[in-house]
Amino acid sequence: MPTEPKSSLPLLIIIVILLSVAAGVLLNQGYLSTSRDNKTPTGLEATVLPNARPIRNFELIDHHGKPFTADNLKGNWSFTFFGFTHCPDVCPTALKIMQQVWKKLPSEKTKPNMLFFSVDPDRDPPDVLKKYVTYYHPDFMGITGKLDQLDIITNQLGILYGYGDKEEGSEDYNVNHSAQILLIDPQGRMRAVFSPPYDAGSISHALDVIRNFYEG
Amino acid sequence: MLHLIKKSFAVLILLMSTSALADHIIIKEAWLPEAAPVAKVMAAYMNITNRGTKNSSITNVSSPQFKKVEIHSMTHANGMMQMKKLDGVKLLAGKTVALEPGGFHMMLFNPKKWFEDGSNITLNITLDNNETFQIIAPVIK
Repeated sequence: MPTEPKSSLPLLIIIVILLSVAAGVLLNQGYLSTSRDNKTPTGLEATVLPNARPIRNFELIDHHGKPFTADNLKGNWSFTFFGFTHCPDVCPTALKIMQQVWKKLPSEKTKPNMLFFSVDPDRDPPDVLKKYVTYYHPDFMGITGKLDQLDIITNQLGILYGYGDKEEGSEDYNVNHSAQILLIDPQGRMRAVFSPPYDAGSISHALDVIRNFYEG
Repeated sequence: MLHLIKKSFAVLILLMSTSALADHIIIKEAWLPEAAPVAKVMAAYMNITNRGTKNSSITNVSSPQFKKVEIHSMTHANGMMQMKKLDGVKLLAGKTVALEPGGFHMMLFNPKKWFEDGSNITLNITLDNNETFQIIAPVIK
């Protein structure tokens, strides 16, 4: 039948197109990639991002008053928490957990940066922040700055905050904020999220596993 | 271990003091986590049981060691932990209300000094029938 090859040609083209699209999707999802960058370790009490999220630059200050930018997140793993020092419950609980995680990590070489970002710069100047954060551990670092710069990093990390009943000159207001502890990788990218209720044992275990998975 | 002993001892004091003053409301395991010396706020946690047959409520809390004390709820909403000041705590007959980290808590403002581990905090608790009783809660690191 001479007509048969002609009629199957468009079908063949459609199949080729479909296969290309499917391969593209798989590649994009990381299924055909050999790099571990697009994969995650399993069995952790953490949300590990398959694609670590890079962080665009911001200009904040640390608790010594020195500049703190996106570059300061590079070179080591960092745990971050966003809160404020007039926080009675969630922030002390998170910092206490970060203190316990710190103690569980065996050697100095494996110590991550422990960073507490204050989203309440009006009441948390660097000297206050320094006394507050170093109470939990002398190596912990407080970071704050202008709201527009804080917004650059919080927006990228998916951290929300907002002031309740804040009046001009008032010292008595509440700050609502996200309560996740975030893990930043040595390339300065967000890699994992820990949500309350936190457990220091599972967070330090997760750091070990994540570090071995992406560095090992 | 020392903390446990301290805590148990404090609970014993609490049981003795509360039972004499408000026999239908029992407060157990009241404690405050030690805060940074620079911190201007602290939280108090406890379990409050209404052993009576009538519903009751806590309408006010104060402490001679702080400027003011508020009762707060904590809810997870819109991706944030949202703290809200409550007018009181409802104590349903036969039920226990837990004030615990990450949840309901008492927020204590402007401590008169730094209260370190081992300090005792006095809390004056007023019920809806205007009955007031006092508990002592330890600060624990």
